[in-house]
Amino acid sequence: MEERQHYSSKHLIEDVVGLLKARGLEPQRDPALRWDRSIGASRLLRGLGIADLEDHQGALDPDSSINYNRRIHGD
Amino acid sequence: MKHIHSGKVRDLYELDGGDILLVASDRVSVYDVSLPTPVPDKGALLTQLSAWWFDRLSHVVPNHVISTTDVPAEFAGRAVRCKPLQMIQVECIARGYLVGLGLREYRRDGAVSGVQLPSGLVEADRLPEPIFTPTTKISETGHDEFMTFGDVVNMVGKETADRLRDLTIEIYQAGAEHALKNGIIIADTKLEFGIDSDGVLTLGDEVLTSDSSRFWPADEWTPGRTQHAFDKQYVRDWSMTTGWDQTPPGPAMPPEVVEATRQRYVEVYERITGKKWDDREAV
Repeated sequence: MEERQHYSSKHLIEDVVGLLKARGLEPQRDPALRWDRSIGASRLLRGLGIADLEDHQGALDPDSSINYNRRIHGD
Repeated sequence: MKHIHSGKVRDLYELDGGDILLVASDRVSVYDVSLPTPVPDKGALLTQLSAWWFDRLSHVVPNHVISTTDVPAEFAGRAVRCKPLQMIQVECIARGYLVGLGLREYRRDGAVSGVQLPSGLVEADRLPEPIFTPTTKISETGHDEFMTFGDVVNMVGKETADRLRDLTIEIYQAGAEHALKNGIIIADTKLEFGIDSDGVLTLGDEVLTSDSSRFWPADEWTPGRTQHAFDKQYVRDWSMTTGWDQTPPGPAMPPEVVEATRQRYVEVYERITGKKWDDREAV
């Protein structure tokens, strides 16, 4: 990954929602369009030369094993 | 030292100077619930196993480990001092066998995460070759979600996506091959990558432990039925005998169950590393 600047797409989505509300709009979060939002935010960042990365504090999950077993194995 | 986060089985600290400390506890979780009785040495066993794999795989990809010995004394043996990374928001999962939610997806679609598989496969079958089935944690629903490889390309770009996939498969294959020679099937595993301060793609979190992978005893592997996890199954089976409804709080384990579970974790460590747990250097 060449970009050295980074920002989280998750935070960018929240930022944009806040911005749009401040402009008088009412953003909707249709679950069926979640990938449009996530991938759109990632691509926007990359298009601006910024990598979609999360600081370790927010990204490292101490419960990852529990989540892994639930998510991958359903238990 | 700043405490960042406490999980059900691990804790995260930031050390003076910015290094990260991952501390594994002796807590055991079953069916998403942390049981009140710890299993002695579990945290150390998984930490040392992960450290062994990181070292063994260091020729494949750089990793975040700085030291497993230069850690605060109270966490000796069960902590890893790590480089802080900027984490990629893709959990990289490799599967070598058809199980769990992947099996459910295959039965519905004939594919897992967009990877088409041959027809006629049954539960726990070995796949023709390992597949990359990533998930993301950036879902607005708060739940991780399966992605296709195309989704990963869209998120991180093709070059990084290719690298994540290739590294994940290479690490899984190397680990699974070694474990199988020692009687353990690694059905699947989860890896997490980040970018270090020099911009280098780096393997983070933990690697090829029974918390981040599904281990089965190879001599009991029988496709067509549910397989038993190598280490946790004993606790799961015992918990089912207690009448517990799988909601918090979990039941307290009697001493014989604690010791039997500990022995399973020791056996996994010893089979994979080839080292005797009791012979390790004091820390």
